[in-house]
Amino acid sequence: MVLFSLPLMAQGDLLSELEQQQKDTMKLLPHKMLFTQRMLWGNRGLMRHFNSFALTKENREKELKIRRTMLVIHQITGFTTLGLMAAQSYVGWQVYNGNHSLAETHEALAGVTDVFYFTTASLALFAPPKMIDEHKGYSSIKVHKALAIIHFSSMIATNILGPMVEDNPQLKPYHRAAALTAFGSLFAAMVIIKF
Amino acid sequence: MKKIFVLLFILTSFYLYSQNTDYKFKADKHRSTITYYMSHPLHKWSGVSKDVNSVIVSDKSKRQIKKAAVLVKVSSFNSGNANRDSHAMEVLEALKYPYVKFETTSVKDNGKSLDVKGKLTFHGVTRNISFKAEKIRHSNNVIEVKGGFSIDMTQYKIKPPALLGVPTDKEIKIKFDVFY
Repeated sequence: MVLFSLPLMAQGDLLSELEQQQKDTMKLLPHKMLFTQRMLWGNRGLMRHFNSFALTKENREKELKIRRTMLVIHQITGFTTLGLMAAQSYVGWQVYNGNHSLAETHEALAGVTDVFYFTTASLALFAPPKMIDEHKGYSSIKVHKALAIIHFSSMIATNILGPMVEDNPQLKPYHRAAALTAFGSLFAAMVIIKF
Repeated sequence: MKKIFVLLFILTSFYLYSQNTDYKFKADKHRSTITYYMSHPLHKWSGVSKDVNSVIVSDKSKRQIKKAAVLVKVSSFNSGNANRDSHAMEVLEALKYPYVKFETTSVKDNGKSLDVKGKLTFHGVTRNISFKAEKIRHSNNVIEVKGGFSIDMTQYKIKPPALLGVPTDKEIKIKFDVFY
């Protein structure tokens, strides 16, 4: 299909012509973002009160670098958390089967795992938003986020049920189930995520 | 008699002018695509842009392409993963260099194929490239130009992005399929 044609009386620079027809329509922020990100980095977010984070192209470039750093650390702490959870699963299993000498280790390991887990979560929740909105349809990042809801809820449940087990041993299977769900969904979230 | 000669002269001039006049033809955005292919030790992926701004200069029947230019927004590439596309925009500094540009410096039109040389501007760096392309004639004076080439992103001052500390392959394969 011919969309446009005309005799060339005087040939100009083709590329310049194409550039002149373009409109600068690149948005600096996506339409949708997590409420935690909107709170900090939205159009009227808390960070926008600082001059160095006013919503400009230059500052968005800086923000994207901050985002990348936060997401790289998110990956590292995520894998560390998974390792800690694997160790915790073994120790927890021993305690569950009556080896109470490991109870203190289990508790200490739980504290360290929590610190790493919630640091990992915070890095993703509070990172500056990406440039564009999600595309329609399936993507690995959407599955990663759906799994995050599962492991985040499971981690909260595990932490609530853990201290209650001492007084109420009947809760042990529920504590274990919540912990294993957290471990399994975190593992799946890591496997599914692709660059 | 004199009037007839004048008329003949005018008609001949107009005919010769129309035969030698170059025309510009814009790409059909509904059908044209440019796709990139990249790989990482863990997986491979591609991203496609359906927002191809391109123009060719040729004779009216498009038998001889003489010049071409292409302009594509970095943000128009869709790999099916918004995080990845946003990361690509970040690595390519799309806010500073929003377009990938290409302009021919020479085109040899062999009828069904093209030998193309030109300048590719990517990430603000301009380099000479050359490649072959296929030229297909369709009905209604529509031509399709398709082909591809590879670039080394490090030559365009782009640091290969990494996942878990492992960088992607520095080669980017580009394929195009443009209708004029």
